[in-house]
Amino acid sequence: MVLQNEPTPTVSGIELRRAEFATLTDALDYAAGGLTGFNYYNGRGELTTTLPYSELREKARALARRLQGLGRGARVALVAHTHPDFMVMFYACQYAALVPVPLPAAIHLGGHEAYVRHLRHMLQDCKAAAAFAPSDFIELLQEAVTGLPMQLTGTLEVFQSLPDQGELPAPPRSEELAYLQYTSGSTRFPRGTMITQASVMHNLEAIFNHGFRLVQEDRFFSWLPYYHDMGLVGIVLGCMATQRSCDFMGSREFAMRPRLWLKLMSQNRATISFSPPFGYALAARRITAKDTESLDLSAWRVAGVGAEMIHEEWLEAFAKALAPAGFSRKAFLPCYGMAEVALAVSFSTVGAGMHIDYVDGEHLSDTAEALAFTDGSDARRKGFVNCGVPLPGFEVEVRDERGRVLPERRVGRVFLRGASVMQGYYNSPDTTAEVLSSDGWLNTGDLGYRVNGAMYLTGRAKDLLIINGRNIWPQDLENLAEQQPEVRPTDASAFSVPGVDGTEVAVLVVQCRETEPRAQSELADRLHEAISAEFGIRCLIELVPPHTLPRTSSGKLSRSVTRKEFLERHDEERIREASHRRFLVSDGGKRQVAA
Amino acid sequence: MAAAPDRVEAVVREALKLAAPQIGPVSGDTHLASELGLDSAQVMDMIMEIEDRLDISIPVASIAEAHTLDQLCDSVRRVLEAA
Repeated sequence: MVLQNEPTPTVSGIELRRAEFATLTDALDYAAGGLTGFNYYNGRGELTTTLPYSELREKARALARRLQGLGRGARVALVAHTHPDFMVMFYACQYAALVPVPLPAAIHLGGHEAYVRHLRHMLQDCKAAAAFAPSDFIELLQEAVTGLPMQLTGTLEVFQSLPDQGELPAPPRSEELAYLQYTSGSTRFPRGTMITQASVMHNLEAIFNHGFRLVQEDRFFSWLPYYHDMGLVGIVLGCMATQRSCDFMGSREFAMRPRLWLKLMSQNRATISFSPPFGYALAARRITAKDTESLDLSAWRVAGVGAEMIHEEWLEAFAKALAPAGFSRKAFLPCYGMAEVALAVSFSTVGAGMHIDYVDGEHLSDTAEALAFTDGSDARRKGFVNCGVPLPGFEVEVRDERGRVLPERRVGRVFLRGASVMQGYYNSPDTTAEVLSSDGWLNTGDLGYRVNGAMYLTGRAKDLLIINGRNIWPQDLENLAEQQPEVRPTDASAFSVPGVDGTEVAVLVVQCRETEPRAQSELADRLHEAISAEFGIRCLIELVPPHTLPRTSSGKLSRSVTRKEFLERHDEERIREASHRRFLVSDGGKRQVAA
Repeated sequence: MAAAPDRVEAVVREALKLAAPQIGPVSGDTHLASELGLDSAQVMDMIMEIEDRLDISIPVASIAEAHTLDQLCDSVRRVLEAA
């Protein structure tokens, strides 16, 4: 269905309040007094639904009266497809004092089984009482809940046909959970971050007053998935809590038609949009000189950049391609955050663009000290992006491996403490204890240093792979390998290596007893198929003889040593070449056997 | 609307060629991800070409069953029939 009418206006008509509310329902009660809201566009750029906050509130409250039977605090899983029904379900959970749990809505080619399994793990982990999906996903969800003790599974219409209980329960209190989010964590061992109403409101208030202060003329555009922190907290909650209008297109539609992002921003004079670096790179690759003629991006004042390591060249390419359309590189706003603190830790300075700190790369890898680069050969120079000073309310420490606090320009693990830090991972006291100390310090797993208080991220202490903004745990790749009949437990090791143009390439090294080329090729095919169905990525597979993978003294596999040895076996050119092939075979030494 | 079955296959092959120009010959039972090594960006490019050429919108869940070229063609035919 295509609407003839207009999207919600940019100016709300009520006084702008920047997320200064105790709870999300207080925020929506206020936003509903204005004219702004959410707008949905399809892959052709046509407006399909408008959902003003006034209408969202009405629908959410009507539905909340029917949801109460699930019991206060019960988890309601929501397949987080970019769809207005998700909004109604999410905010109905708020009014009913239930805990919504957004679940991923991304399926890869041939990925049916992998997706259903992944959903099931999360449904079990959060002990969901009910589960919702829009019609596109309902069959997959039905399959995922088979045999689980669900009170109800269905589309919005199914939930709307529950009996009306007449009244709403007491509104959510600030110490109650606002949602659970499965951004971090592996597919087999998901980790749901528990965020209270107080935590998320605290973070939103800091973001929109101190990170980038909003004005009445601001309008958002977003294609970010609703199941990631940037899309859920920054947009689904953030726009509502600041009474801003936001225009949406689906993430999948964006991946297919990145130019539509720019066209709709131009058309609606949007001023704010966020993307991981790969989104800017994707758009820059597609844009033509002819496209820019019809675009006017001069209103775009905040082009947020987050979620993965920031590559200067990717953003430069975007700024250069879109300069004729009035886009200013000064709009780039690098930021740092994670789901464990609701969303954001720090923002660089609005309107100042991206700032790079150049350090002596050799000195850095020898001593972990980020000395400012003064002169010498360019090969020694390494740049890190200024992600700004932490928002008010955060304490930050950079610590060495023994837990000692490091001075500025020393690289170590980043620790955070403050009011927006999560309560922990749902139902996982052990994994919570690994990252959250009893005195409230969160170990982010990120490595970085500070200069004049500003944050610079240099890498990760945890073994996480980040491919196209997506977190992938090495354990998940290794597990896929170990499920193959010819691979035994602890026969596989996964990590990432630098690829072309600053990308990360996933590598899976597998010990394999097969020596027949045909059998090896079959194994590689099965691995590619499984990895592709589960993660939608291409992975470089290396088959090595038994006893090649290095172990620590306690007998555990060492990913970092495996990675180091892999890089010794294969030079850069070979890795680039090999990413076009199906797999590599090596004898575990430096000599190449075959490819 | 209806399209002859061979038209669907021709369109899918053209789309595949555009999305991944480096690939060699492809048969009906070639696994698109494992054997051809398509990544998610290439899959998206291919789906977009198919959508544009056939003037359809392919729902996200409909590619979940498609491992091979033949299976992808079947998925596209089902979308066409439902349109």
